[in-house]
Amino acid sequence: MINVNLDVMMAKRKMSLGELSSRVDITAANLSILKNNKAKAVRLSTLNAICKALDCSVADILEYVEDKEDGQ
Amino acid sequence: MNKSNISFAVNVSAALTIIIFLALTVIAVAIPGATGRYLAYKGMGTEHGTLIIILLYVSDAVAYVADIALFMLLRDVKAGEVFSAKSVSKLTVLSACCFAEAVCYAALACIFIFSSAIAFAAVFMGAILSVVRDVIAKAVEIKEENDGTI
Repeated sequence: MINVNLDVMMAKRKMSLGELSSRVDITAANLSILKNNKAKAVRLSTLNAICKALDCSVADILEYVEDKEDGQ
Repeated sequence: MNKSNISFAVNVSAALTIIIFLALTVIAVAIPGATGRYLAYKGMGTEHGTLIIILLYVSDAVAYVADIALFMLLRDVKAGEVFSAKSVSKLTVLSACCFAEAVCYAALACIFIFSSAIAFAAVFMGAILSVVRDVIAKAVEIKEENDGTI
């Protein structure tokens, strides 16, 4: 599964959800969905905006973790 | 079709379902008397009377269920909840009711041959509603995917 480490990067950059929301022009509710791994898909434009706002790469935000079903 | 036209159409449909509900109540009351008078008019014996009355009451009950499902579906449409699991389940009920009506009228066909045409129409309507249900179910799936896309 893909883990979203948005909260880790936000903590590193000392940025709140509200501030990130205003910078990337995505609602705080949607960012919260993304942060809590509840999103089904992420647009490339959204990733682009988040990486630009947090000055990081995609790998800092998204992490692949093998779960038990994938391992079988 | 603009918003006000859709709203008007939905209200008309809701009014129709209420009228149908009342008509089904009148039919339920009239079934025994009407059946007796029809059998007497046709010079038919009363041996089929019980079967006819039972099948008509079952058909009326199924029609009640379908009418209520239709009204609830329209209420969801008015509330803006069109593409939801609730709508799919109500369409499943409507489709099942059509097939149940087809069974009732197919059983009546042994007495009234014309009821086989009604049975066929009911099967056709049930098939149409099944397809509509599948379309809405797919739309719900796509909507959930889109809603979950950030």
